[in-house]
Amino acid sequence: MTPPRLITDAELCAFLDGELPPARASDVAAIAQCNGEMQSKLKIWRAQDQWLRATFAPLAHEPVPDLLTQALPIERAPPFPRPVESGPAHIIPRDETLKWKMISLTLGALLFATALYASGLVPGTAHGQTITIEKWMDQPRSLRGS
Amino acid sequence: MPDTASLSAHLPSLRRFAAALCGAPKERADELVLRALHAVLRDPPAKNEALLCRKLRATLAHLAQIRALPRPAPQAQTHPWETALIDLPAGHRAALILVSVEGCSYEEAAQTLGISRAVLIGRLTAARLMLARRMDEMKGGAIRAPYLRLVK
Repeated sequence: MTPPRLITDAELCAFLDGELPPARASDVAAIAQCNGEMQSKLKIWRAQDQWLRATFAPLAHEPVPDLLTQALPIERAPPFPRPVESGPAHIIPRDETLKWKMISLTLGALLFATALYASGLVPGTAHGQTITIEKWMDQPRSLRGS
Repeated sequence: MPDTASLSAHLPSLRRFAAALCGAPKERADELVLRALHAVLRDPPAKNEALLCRKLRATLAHLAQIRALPRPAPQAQTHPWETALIDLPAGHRAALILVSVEGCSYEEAAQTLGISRAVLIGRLTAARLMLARRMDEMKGGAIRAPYLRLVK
């Protein structure tokens, strides 16, 4: 003879909501079939659930009032994406700057050398006869020239 | 900050939950949802929709409990069960609505209300028995469903 199995109201509730493990759920279903009191409880609870769903479910299909939608945070547009690699147009990349620096430095040096040569400051480039400073000092003042 | 689209998607079910908790005109349910939105958006959870929804429902249940909503004036077409539902303790009512109306699992409902699964089952069972008893009382019948009695 199998011992009588007890089913609590909590278990019956979990059975109704499908929250019992399958083995226990089949036990409860078998016992409930032979128990009028349990059957009537299940019937009442099912009716309660049906009434609750039928009463409140339509509310979820109604339009939401402005009062609530206006309370939601306003979405801001995402920030404008900045080109990371190329950078803004008015800024020249570092490599380009260095190249132009080198070119301008070379041109400057060439210009300086040309100017030096043209002015006759480089030995052997002056117009006329070249003499040493001692000879120049020995000459009479009238012959020294400007 | 949660995005507006995900929040908007939750609004209809939040209104339903609030209305069921209040058992009152929709205006009061909307006011409750508005307060819950303000409370949650002050410190929103990370971008997780499930967590956001749970937090909003938890805030609603909490607000409904602490504000001790006055019983709405009975109307001519009020269903007897509606009156019985309002008479339930707030915690019991929230548990019943989460499971029966919102379709939450016991685990989800327990997490939402911040209680253990065992406590949730206790509240849910008590709520169903109390509803049945109140209905019997309204019909003038005897109390048929005993409170948490073991049955064979």
